Amino acid sequence: MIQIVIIDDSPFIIKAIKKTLEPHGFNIIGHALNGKDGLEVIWQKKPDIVILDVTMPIMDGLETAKFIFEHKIPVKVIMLSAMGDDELIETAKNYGVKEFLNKPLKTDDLINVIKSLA
Amino acid sequence: MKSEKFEYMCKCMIDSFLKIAKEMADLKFNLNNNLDPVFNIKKTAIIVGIVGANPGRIQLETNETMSQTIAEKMNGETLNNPLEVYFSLAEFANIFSGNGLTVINNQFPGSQLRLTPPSIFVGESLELTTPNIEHAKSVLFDGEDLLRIDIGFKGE
Repeated sequence: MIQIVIIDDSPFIIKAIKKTLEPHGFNIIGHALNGKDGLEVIWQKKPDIVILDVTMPIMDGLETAKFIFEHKIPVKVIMLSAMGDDELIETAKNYGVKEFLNKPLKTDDLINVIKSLA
Repeated sequence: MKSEKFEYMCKCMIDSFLKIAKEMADLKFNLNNNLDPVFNIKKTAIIVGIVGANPGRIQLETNETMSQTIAEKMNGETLNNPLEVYFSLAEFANIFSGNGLTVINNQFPGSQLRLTPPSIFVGESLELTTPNIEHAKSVLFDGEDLLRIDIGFKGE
C-alpha cells in the first residue's frame, strides 16, 4: 500500500486530501502544518510520497523540497499549491519535485499522479 | 506602478474570486459597488499577504452567515466547529489569491509575487487598515449574502 505524508498549513486541505485518498486505498501515515515539522514526520514515518504545499509558515514548500533534494531523502514529492506560475513550477522541478498540481484540488488528477509515481 | 497595471492585477483577482467561488462552493456573486458595505455584527476577515516586486495584500471580509455558507459548501457537510469555518475560509482566500497571482506572474515575468500564509480575524465592529499601500481598490459582491474584497499593492 502506498504510504503518504501531507505537509500543508491548511487543516481544510489535509482533511480534503484524506477524504479523497483514503477510500481509494492510499494510506495517509502522517501530516504536518509546516516544512520543518514535515521533515520530522518524513524522517520518522519514511513515506513513499509527500504531498507538499508551497505557502507555509516557518519553512515553506520550496525550502522543504530543496532540503529533501539536497539531502537525497528517498521520497517522491508532489507539490500542491494555489499558485502555479511558470517560474514557480520551474524552481520546484529544479528541487526535484516530480509533479506540480494546482489548488483547488482535483480528485482524479491527484489520484492519477500518485498512481503514476508509485 | 502604472494604474493600468494595478487595474489589470485587480481584474485578475476579481476574476479568480468569481471562478473559485463557483468551482469550490458553487456560489455565484455579482460585482455591485452600489451596495452599502455594512455587515452584521460579527465579521470575519482574512488577510493574505503578497511579497515580491509589488508587495501588497488581499483582504476578504464577510459576515458570519456568508462565512458559514462558503465553508459548508466547500466541505460538503454541516460544520459545527467555528475553527473549521475559519480555516476553510482562509483556504478559500488563499486559493483565489494564488490563482490570481499565477495569472499576474505569467503576464509580468520576474515579478515573483508570492503569498504569505493567511491571517484570520473575527470580531464585532471589526475595522482593519493596512498602511503603506499605494494602490487600493475595494470591491463589493452580493450573492446569497454580502462579501467585500479589498486589494492593495505597493509600487514598483
